[in-house]
Amino acid sequence: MIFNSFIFWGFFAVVLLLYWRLPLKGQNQLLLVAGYIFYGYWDWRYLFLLGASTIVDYYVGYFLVRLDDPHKRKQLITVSILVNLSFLGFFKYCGFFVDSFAELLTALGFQPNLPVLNIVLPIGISFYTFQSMAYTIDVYRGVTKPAASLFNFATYVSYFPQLVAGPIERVHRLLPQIENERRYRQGDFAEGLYHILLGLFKKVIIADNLAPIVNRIFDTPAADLNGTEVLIGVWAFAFQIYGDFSGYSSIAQGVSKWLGIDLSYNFRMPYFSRSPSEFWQRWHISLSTWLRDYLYIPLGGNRRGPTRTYINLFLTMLLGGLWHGANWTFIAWGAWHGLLLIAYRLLGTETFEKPARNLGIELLQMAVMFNLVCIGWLFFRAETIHQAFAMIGALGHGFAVTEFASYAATLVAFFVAPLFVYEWVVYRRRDMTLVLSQPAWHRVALYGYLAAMVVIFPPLTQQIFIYFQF
Amino acid sequence: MENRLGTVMRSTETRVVFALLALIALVDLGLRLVDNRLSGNVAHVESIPQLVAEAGQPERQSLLLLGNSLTNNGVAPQVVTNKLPSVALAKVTPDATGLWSWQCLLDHQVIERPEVQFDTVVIGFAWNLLSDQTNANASRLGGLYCDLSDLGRAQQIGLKNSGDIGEFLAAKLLRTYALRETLRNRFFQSAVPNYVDFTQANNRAGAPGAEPDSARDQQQYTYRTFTGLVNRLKAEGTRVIVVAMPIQKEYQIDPQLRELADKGVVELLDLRETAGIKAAHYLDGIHLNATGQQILSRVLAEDLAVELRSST
Repeated sequence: MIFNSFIFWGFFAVVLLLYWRLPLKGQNQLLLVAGYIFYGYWDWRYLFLLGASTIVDYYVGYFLVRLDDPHKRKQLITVSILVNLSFLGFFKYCGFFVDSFAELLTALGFQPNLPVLNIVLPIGISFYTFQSMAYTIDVYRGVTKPAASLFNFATYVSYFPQLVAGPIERVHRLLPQIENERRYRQGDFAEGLYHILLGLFKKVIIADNLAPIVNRIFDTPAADLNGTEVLIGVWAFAFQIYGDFSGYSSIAQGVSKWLGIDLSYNFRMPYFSRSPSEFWQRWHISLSTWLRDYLYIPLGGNRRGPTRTYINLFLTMLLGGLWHGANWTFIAWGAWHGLLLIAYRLLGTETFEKPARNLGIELLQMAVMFNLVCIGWLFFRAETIHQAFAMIGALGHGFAVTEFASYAATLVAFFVAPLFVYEWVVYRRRDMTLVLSQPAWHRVALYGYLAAMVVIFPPLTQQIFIYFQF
Repeated sequence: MENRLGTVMRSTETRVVFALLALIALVDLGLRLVDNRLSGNVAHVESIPQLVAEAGQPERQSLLLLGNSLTNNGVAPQVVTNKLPSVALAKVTPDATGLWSWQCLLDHQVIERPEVQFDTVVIGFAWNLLSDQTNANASRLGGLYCDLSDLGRAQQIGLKNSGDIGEFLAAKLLRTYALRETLRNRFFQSAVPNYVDFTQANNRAGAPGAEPDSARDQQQYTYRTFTGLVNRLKAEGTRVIVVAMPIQKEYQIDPQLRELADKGVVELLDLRETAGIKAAHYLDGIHLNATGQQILSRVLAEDLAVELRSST
């Protein structure tokens, strides 16, 4: 069930109609059932995986607060981490490591006869295992209380608006909202509507309409592309993946708002960032804070001198890349972002984090950062590392404006420019829900535009959310 | 901030939604008034009830020529009527149609209309457009060809899942949604350079015959819906002739369809390799140009004349 499908909105309408007629316990029972229906709609067999992860982590949390022996507590948390990472390792990375090992053996002159693994990746596994694992780690650290019951915890893990593509909500933020009485507040409807319409626009209009252009460019051999076409391809992909993922997060936020539960912002206009560290405070925020809290800081963060800080940054980003998928292209993407973070630190990050002296410098810093991010997207989107380098090489083929380039650039501008302008205004005013505090006709105009675009300019073929594969 | 927002929203958000709905309704209403000016195809679809009523009068010998752009480009009605002067002919050839659209059209415009009677329905097809496996365009079905009551038999009109049903309903409700491809194309043709060329290239890549031969060979085709449609037409006293249309790239007539012809369920005219039609007679590898149209029309008219004589 994807957010931009009629079946989801039918499903959600039924949930919503029942939801606000029920007491708290009934609401949570409904959310639990809805979460399992939502997830099982793809493949009911993976419900057992979701259930197993839930049960293991609940009982680890349960016993962690009842045990004083540090050794036993350590054993327990190790069990939780091992179980979650085993699920991830088997379903997501097993095939990759077996294939890579076979390639290595072949390169060394052996003839490996390793089994071919065709393991289907359970949708959203990286999101819910990270969310569930964060719970046990927080309980272990004593920074959060365990869930009051298995039922509450299961509702927390399987909360359908953010189950398969985040945001990866932290226990201290989401669990109390699940466990406590919730009231429908004034403004929830308006805010939910805003997030849903904006999210649908980003997904249906931006991401799905740019997909055919991106696919065409990335499916063309790099030798047949010129620099203009490569630039259009990678810029289009930058907005495709932004529209796709931030659109999903926005719809999740809106849907959840209508259920009386606040989800955190996962994106805050990331392409207006002026430095890599700012980018990671604006892009996939729930993952970057997860990596910071559960990987970077435990590795020592910036407390052990500059060299160790650089190593920690690099390792964190490398693993962040690997989180996205079992492919060398994702690892290269992570490595690139690690290098960017290190390079900016060496240049003096504070230079880029202070307010710029004037708008021109600020815009220049943004443009540089955007294009550096786009180099990363080349690796992220390419099928192989070789293709990514070949496309970078194609930038040397000149910047002639071909017929295809003018066609593709016009379409990209048509779909992206209005969102870009709108987000610039929001960015400058530093208010993510700016339009909600404006006169009503502003919203009628904005929503009218969004609705008209969604009705008249949907893509010719529907695309699944890119981040489901992660 | 929250309180201020709450105060603003308390009194206005319902009005925002109603204003938005009113705006959508207004635009949709406006579009309904002028939609036949959007494209020749939309105007043609809207003229179908009248075309059918004029030709399909019970007291005259009549023929309905049904198909899509292949038939539209391939057959000149004048050539056919010159050969068959006593026959009233209606040419109904909306773009991008196949079994599911034709079924709704025939059901609602021919079979269910007591004042309409055709002696013969000729359907031009290619590939597997008459099979149950051909794709349905739920938006076009909802917006242009089917009735809301058809939802009661969603499977039989080609709607395969809840997404199709949703699209069908949305297109029924909103003309803007039903005609979105036309609106999109009209806008982009004027605003985006080379739009037509690249869109046509994409369309060719996604056309029904564009899938690999191996994929088509492995597919099992069935003709339950088409057989039911033919039987309903026959019950009204209408004979059905299907014409395999020529396209530049060779395609196979499905054995199951041939079997229906062998059993006498339907009559089949195979014009895939019509004498005289060459590569130069195609506009784009699929659609015939004016010269090709004349050649094919003459051959079809001859064949139809023989077929119709054989029935009298």
